Amino acid sequence: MSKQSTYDDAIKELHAIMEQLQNNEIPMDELAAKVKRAAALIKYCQEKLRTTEEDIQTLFGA
Amino acid sequence: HLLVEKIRQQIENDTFQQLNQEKTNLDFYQKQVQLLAQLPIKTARQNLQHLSAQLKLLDPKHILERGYALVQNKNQATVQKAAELKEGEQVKIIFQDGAIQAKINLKENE
Repeated sequence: MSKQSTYDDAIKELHAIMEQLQNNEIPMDELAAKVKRAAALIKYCQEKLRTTEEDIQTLFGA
Repeated sequence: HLLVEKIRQQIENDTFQQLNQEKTNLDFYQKQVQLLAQLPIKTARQNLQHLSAQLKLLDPKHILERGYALVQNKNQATVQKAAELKEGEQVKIIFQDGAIQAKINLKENE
C-alpha cells in the first residue's frame, strides 16, 4: 500500500471487492488476485489501527 | 481540573471505542472475504463435475459399453442407416471389446 492511500480509501476499496464477490462479478482468472488485494488491504488497515492505538495510548499516557 | 479530566476521559473512551469498532469491522471483513471467495470456486467445481458427467455420456466408448455397436462400411465411414447398405456388402462391426468383419445377408423390410 502506498503512503498516500488513506485508511478510508483502503476500506472503500475493500467494500468494492466484497461487493464484487457477493455479486459474482469476478472472473475465475482474477479471483486469486482480488482476494490477495483484499487481504493486503485488511493487513494495511489492521496495522494502521495498531499504530494509531499506540499513538493514542502514548498521548493519553495509558 | 475536574472538568478537564472529565473531557479527557471522554475523548479517550470515544477514541478507543472507535478503534475497537474498526477492529471488529476488519475482523468481519476478513471472514466475509474468505467466505465469499469460496463460493465461486464451489460453483465452478460443481459446473465442471456436471460437464464431465455429460462428456462421459457423449463419449462413443461409453455408448459402446452400454451394449451398442458401431457399424462401418468399406471406407471406414460410420453407417447411420440400413438404407446405406446392400446385401452382400462387407461391414466392420465395432464392439466395446473389439471388432468383427461381417457380410450383409439380408435386408429386412421395416
